[in-house]
Amino acid sequence: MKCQKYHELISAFIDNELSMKETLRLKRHLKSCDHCKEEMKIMSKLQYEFQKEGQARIAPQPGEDFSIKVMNIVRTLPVEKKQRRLFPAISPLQTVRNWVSSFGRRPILAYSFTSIVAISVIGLLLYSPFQKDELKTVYELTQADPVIQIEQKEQDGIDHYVREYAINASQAVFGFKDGLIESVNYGSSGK
Amino acid sequence: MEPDGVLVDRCKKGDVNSFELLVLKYQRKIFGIIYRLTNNPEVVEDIAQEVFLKVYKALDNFKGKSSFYTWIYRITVNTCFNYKKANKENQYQNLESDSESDKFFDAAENLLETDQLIERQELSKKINEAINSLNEEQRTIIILRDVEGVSYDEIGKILSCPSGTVRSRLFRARKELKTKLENYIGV
Repeated sequence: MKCQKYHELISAFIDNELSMKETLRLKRHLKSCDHCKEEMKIMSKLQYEFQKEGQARIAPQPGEDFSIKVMNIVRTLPVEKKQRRLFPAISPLQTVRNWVSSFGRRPILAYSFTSIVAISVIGLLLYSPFQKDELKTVYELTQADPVIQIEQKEQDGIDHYVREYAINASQAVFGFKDGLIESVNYGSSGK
Repeated sequence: MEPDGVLVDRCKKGDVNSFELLVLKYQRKIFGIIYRLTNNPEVVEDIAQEVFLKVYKALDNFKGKSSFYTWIYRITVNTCFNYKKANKENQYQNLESDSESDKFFDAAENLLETDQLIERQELSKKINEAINSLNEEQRTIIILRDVEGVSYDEIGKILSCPSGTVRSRLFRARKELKTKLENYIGV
């Protein structure tokens, strides 16, 4: 029974899978144990016979058309399966979550992100397309808009002009002071 | 031929021709191992085809942690296990059909004397019977190690177990085979 533990070493030894330390241990034991020497012979012979048997059994060989058959099927598989993804295959929500969760590790990124969001919100509030129509209309005013009426006033020694334009089928009255728009009045004829 | 890693990377980028090179490189090995694991020459081509299609579909999952060779062997072994599970009634058929044995021995006839041939035929039969009597796990380990020459480490990767476990399982399988064949191998 004492030799049983060496038999596993013998099995690994014939496969050249023993460590140097185990090999030395086994060789020391073999010098003084005829039983294990016999075991070594049997195991080696068995392995030799298995290898010989395996080589003798000639497996069916792939025909010349085997790879063609496989490739014909492969080529019918959806192409997009093999296309490299430009972005990771996770949902946009998950991407945002991952990004936000990374803030804990990168405070500078968190501050930058917060600042950008705050500036964007303020900018939207100031220049939103939902802003008052007056400003939008002023920007759209062009030289081509027909002048309906010009009124000139003098006040405090400075010339004031009031011009009435037809804009988008409605009317707007712009007050100019020294050539700059000073006031806008909608929905009136300006009179 | 390009290294496996290069061909695999090209396949992942959609280069189907690189996959064909991998098929050509491994088809003989895969046929051999399927034949030895299933003992049925008639199913080898179908299983091999299934293996290569599985490999192609799973290529994106291959991260290169083990060699491509180990990975394709693992898929082959698992596909054979699945085949055998689905065809349990044929599991313990002889390793060779009579006609195959005849072919082998006809070819060997010119090389061996008649006495030697009969002796070899008898031993071959006993070896195949003994190997077939092992359980699935032991049989696979013996085939991978003694016939295919795969290292313990690679067998561990193929069968998803540590190499120490491979060593002890292989030892147990050999011990069992020794008991059955000791009287025939004539040391």
